[in-house]
Amino acid sequence: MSVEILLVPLALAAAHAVVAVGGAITAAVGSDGTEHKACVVQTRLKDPRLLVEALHTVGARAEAHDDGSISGTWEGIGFRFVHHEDGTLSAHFDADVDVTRAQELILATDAAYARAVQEAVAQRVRERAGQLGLTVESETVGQDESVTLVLNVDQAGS
Amino acid sequence: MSRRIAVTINRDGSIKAETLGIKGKTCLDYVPLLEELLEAETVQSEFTADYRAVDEHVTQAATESVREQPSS
Repeated sequence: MSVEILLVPLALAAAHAVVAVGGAITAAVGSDGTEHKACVVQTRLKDPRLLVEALHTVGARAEAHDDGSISGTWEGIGFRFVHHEDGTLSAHFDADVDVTRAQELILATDAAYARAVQEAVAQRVRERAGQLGLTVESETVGQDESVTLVLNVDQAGS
Repeated sequence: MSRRIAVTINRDGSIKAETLGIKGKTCLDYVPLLEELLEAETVQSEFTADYRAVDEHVTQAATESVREQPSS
């Protein structure tokens, strides 16, 4: 052993918790430019493509728009995800939404998104290790469903 | 001993990487390589036994070298 590092994929925000607790009722500007009250739930999610996939995984209808936002419905609840300046996406619901249900959707979506990220990172390692002079020696799945890849670095440049 | 890196990708998307058999400061060369490979950013790092073992060895050797020098 010599160094142990913790990393966060760029598709996730490092500074955010899995999902913000609670939903803040706040003023938001809609796509029509008018201001209205909304229930906003901050997420750590950054990649719209993975988010649409995750929303479909949890059974939501979701559609990406040219402005980068995503709108859809889940079990009768309408939602819209919009980007923040830091690259994260926040979920906007109508102000009278059942906050518990809204959080259920966000938690389930976060979990599905994280699984998609896990698979994407593992696939990237399998595909790109050789280009960086690394060899995948083994791959195992733990009881907690984590994926561990052991890379031999003896052929790397360092 | 062959040099390895164990990369663990957790269900929540977080990643832990640990260098194995790579002693001293050389292990730091793999941090940017891992960030590129994993398309991820480092949020925390910690040196472990091998790194300190080499550093302590170097420090001890340097100390002995200084002691052996005649005083002016």
